[in-house]
Amino acid sequence: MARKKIQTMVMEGTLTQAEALKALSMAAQSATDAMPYALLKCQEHADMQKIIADRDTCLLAYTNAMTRTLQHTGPLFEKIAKELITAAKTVNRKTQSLKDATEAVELLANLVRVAAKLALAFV
Amino acid sequence: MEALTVVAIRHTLCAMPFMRSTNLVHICREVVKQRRHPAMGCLIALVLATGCSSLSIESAGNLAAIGKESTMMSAGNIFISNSEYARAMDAEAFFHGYAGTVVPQQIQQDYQGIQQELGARKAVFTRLGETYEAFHNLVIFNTASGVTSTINELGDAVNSYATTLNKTVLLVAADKDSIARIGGMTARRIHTRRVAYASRLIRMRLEELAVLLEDTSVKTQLTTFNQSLAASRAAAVTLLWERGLLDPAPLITELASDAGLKAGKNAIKIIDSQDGAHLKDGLTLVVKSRMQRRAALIEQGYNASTVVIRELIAKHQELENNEVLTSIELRGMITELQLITNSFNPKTAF
Repeated sequence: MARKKIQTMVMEGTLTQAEALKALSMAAQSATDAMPYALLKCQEHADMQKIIADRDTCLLAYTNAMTRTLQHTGPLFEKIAKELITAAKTVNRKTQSLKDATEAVELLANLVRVAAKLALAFV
Repeated sequence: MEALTVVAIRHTLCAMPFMRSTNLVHICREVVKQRRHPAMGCLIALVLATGCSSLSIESAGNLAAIGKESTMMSAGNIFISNSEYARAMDAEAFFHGYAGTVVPQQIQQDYQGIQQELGARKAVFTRLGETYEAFHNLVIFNTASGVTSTINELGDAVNSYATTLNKTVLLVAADKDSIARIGGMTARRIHTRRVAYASRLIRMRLEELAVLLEDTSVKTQLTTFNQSLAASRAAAVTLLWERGLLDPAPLITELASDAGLKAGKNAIKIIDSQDGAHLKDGLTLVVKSRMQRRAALIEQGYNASTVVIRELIAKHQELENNEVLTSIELRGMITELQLITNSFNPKTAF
C-alpha cells in the first residue's frame, strides 16, 4: 500500500518572499474589487459585514506580511500560494455573475481562508 | 620629492576649509626654512594662491538651480500622494459605513503609518529646497550667513525621517557658521572654498537620505501599498456608480472632447437601459484604470525622486572635483520627474 506523502511547515522549499507577497497582494486586490458587487446583492447589514470582514482580513493578511519575513518556504506553503492565486482568479470570475446574497456572502470565504493560511508562513 | 610635497600641501589645504591666510603663510615659511630652497617657496606660494580655485562658480550656480527645482517637484508629488492616501481613507470609511461597520483599527494604523512617512519625507524635501536656496545665495551673492544652519536643519529632517522609518541615522550637525568662518588669501578663494565646503555638507546629507529611500523594505511597503489604495478608491466609486449616484456625462464628454463632441442628452438613460450594460462596464474600467494610473504615479514619483537624489550626489561630487556642470546636462536628470509631475497635474502637461 503506497504511503501518502505528508507535507509539514518545517520542510524547506523554494517559495520566495516576493512570490508569497504577490499571491497575498492578488488576494487583497480581488477581494477589494469584488466587494462592491457583493455588497450590492445584500440587504442585511449582517451579510454586508461578513463580506467587509472577509475583504479586510485579506487586506490585513497582505499588509501584515509586508512588514514581516517569510519564514516557511516549504512545499506546503508553495502549494498554498498557488492555491491562493487560483482562488483570487475564481473570485474575479464569479464577481460579475453573483445571483443573490447567499452567493455574495460565500464569494470571499475560500479566498480569506487560504490567505490566512499563507499569512502563517510569515514571522 | 618637492613636487609631491606641493601636491600634499595643496590637498591638505583643500581639505581644511577653516585654514586662514596667516596659517598658509606660516606653512610656506616653514617649508622653505626646512628645505632651504627659495624656488620651492615661490612654487608653494603660487600653489597656495591658486589652491582649489578651479571650482566653477557657474557650475555651482547651475547645480543650485536644478537642485532647488527638482526638490520642489519631489515635494509637490509627495503632497499629491498624501491627498491620494486621504481619499483612499475616505473610500474605506464610505464602504465600511455602508455596511454598518467601522474601519478596523489595524487598517487605519497602516494608512496612518504611510501618511507619517509621507509627512516626514515631505519635510526632508522642503528643507532640501531651502538648502538649495541658501546654496544658490552663497554661490551667486557669496551670502554665507545662515547657510550652515539651513544645512543642519536638513540633517535634522533626514534624522527625523529615519526615526519615522525605525532606522538609525547619525548625521551630526556642522559647527555653527562654519561656512561663514572659512578664510583664504583672496575673496575669490574664500568664495570657492565656501561653496566647495557647503557642497560637501549637502552631499553628505543627500547620501544618508538616498540610503533611506533605497531601503528595500521601505520601498516595497510604500510602493506595493499603492495597489490597495487604487483598489479601495475604485471600489467606493463602483458602489456609488452602481447605485446610480454618479453622473457619467463628464467622463463621456472627456473621452470625446478632443474630437469636439460631448455627452448626449440621453446618455445616462442609454447606459441605465438593458442594452447599456456593456457601456457601463467600459466606463467602469476607465474609472478603475485612471485610479490605477494615479496610484502608479505615486510609485514612479518615489522612484524618480530617489534617482534624482543619487544624481545630485554625483553632481556635487563632480563639482567638488572641479568638473564643469552645464545647465543642459543637469536639466536632463530631472526629465522623468518633470513628466511625472506634469501627469499628476494634467493642466500643466505639455
